Amino acid sequence: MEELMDYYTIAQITPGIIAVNVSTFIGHKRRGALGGLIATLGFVLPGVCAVLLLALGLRTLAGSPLAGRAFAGIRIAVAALVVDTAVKLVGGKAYGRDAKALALLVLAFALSSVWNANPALIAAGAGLAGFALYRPRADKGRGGL
Amino acid sequence: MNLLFLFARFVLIGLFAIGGGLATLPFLFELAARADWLTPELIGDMLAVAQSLPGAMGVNLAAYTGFQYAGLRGAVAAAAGLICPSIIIIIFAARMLNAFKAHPVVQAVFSGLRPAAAGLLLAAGFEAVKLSLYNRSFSAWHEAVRWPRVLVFAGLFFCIRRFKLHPFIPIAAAGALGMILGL
Repeated sequence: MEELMDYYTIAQITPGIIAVNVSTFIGHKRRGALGGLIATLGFVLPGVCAVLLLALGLRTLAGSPLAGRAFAGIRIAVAALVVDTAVKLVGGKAYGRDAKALALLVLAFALSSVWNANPALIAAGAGLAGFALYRPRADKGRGGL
Repeated sequence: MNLLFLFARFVLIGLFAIGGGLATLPFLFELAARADWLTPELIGDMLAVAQSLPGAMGVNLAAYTGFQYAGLRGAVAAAAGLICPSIIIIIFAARMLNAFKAHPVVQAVFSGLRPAAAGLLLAAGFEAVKLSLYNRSFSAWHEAVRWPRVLVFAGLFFCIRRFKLHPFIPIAAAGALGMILGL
């Protein structure tokens, strides 16, 4: 159980989808690199197949005005879900205490929303900024390098 | 853009989207800005489907996006691209589990990445809100937003926060409301 928590923690901070990362971890634990691959595929395939089936089905419905109205409504639900997740992400964190983190958040938001900057560039810049701002200083003593 | 390019693009997305499927949204919106086969509206629709189905939402979304571009092969290329960096990085990380987690440089980089990812997600949420509630053609200021939709949004948002529903529920409900009320 503790191991699973470790996996989840790392999965959250490593690139990629959390669930995918955790699957890879578990698979790797059981059967090495190949296990990691198989486990991930096993987790991901049913969803992908379901999406494809639905996508093909929806394609035939696409033009109908009823579907159009339904999707107008669906888009509202999607917006609500995304905002909910975003608020949860921002609210729980210690952004009140960490000014550097808050600044990075606001900057990323502004760059993306107002200036339409490329998210990959923003992420790369943020990683560099993180290194510059939070890196271990010589005077504080290094932890296992 | 061909299949290989699609794959590479999703490898990049897989590399930079930190913290869950929704983190791929900003990158997808950016793709929509430069591709004619993808629009923000379409992303929203696909997101709804991806969230309602089993498996990893981010992968489902990638597959759907790839499908829009090149059918079945596009779906496979996009999904494969997205999970590739994950698999490779995690297999490395798994070997050095604790050292990786505790490495001060790694921690420092992610201390920067995490707030940026949150900021990006907020921006994506803002996009999604604009998409669903905003009225493109308006004359008076109070017509800028479609108020019936705002009401639905508020109601859905409250329910989602309060009851922690599976995404499929508000999506299906909103779809039904959309059909019935003609939002």
